[in-house]
Amino acid sequence: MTKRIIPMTLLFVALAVTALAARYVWVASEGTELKNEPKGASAVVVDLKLDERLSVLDRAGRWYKVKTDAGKSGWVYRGRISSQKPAREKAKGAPGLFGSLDSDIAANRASTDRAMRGLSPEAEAYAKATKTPEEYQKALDSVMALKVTREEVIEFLRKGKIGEFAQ
Amino acid sequence: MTMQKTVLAVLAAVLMLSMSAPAKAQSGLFDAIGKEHTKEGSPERKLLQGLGTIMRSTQGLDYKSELALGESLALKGFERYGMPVEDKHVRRFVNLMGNALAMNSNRPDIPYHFVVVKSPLKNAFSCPGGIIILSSGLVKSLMTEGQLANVLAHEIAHVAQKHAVKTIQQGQLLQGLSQMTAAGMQGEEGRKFQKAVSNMATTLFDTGLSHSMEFEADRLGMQTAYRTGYSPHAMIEVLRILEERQKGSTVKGSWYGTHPPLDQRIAKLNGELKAYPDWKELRNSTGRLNWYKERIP
Repeated sequence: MTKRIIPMTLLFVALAVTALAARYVWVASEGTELKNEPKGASAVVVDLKLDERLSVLDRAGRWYKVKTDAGKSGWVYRGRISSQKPAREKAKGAPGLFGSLDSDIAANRASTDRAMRGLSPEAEAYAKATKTPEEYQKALDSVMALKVTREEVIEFLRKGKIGEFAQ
Repeated sequence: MTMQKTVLAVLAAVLMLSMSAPAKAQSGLFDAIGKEHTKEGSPERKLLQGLGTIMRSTQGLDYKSELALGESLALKGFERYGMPVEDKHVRRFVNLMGNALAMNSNRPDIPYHFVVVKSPLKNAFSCPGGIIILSSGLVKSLMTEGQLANVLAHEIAHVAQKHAVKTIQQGQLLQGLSQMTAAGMQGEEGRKFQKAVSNMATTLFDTGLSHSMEFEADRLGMQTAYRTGYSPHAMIEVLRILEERQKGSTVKGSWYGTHPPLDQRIAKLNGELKAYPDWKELRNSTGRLNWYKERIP
């Protein structure tokens, strides 16, 4: 009897481990980081790509222990992943959420470019045709020129103890 | 074959073909089959032309054109509601929070811009391409950061789902304008563009998007707030605040006039909240909002 129970138990354990290992999640947020430990302040193992597939290894509260297809393991916050592969229509020609603005040097350069370029030529043509006062165009240009970096957004969340930075 | 049978047969064939064709080819497919198998001016031809138009209307504008429409609409928004609040701390605060939410939205791959404008009306709306405008009256009526986060997430959902663009596409205003160019803004294309902006302004400032679009933005906004770490219950609180202050408030040009009745939205969101059993553990108040509210004139 005991001889039979042990192999059965081993089989169940093996099946459970396989089921867990076979479960995938997908990166659903821009700027998702794989962390060394299940907390926001932990060191970053690697930056994950939007829509990247991850194998689930374990779970602790709002954190998932995952492995990338490239073999890197670590923890990812629940809010940054999805249990289904996101059906996403790529925004062709869009510069991305933070564009190339992840460093201050790039941000300064891009802001300067933006200030020189102004609104899109189509919107400028619209403003001209509809005799929109210049002060509105200047105000909008200033709105569009204001950039925040990914690091600044993370710092905002950390200071507010929000999401992965909640205690 | 009777006319009804012909229509059904053609529709069945078209449906089968369209299921295997790429989206972009589908509108042309309806037109081609219509031309080949139906008579000029016949009801069948008209039906297929109508289907072609619907298919065309669901095809996306490119991002550049979407943003050009959004910028033009934002100019109209300033004209209608007021100029942006200039305080640099307020400007940064809404953009940091907005981008924190946008990272977790269902369209996290475009840039977003958030702006508070000086207006006593309680309103928020989003322009295609990611420009989100909030009135100072709405921001000042909110009590917690979580409530503001849910309003921003609701507006991000409108951008992500391209609700304003879909509304004018249904009116066929964007036909032939899938890739706008500055050179093309002269003449007929320019007039079409102006009409599209004008119709979007009427929809967003006066008549409102469809109720189903608003409910979808409520649902997705709640999800985005939750994923970011803000309490999704705070959206219900926003609607309750608006409900309390409804009496005597200006309806025209505000959320009262452009959104579905508050009691309907609250009932739906209470249902949605069941998907987030741990909402009480998430952040609502951080103690930061009041400092910024005081800086808004």
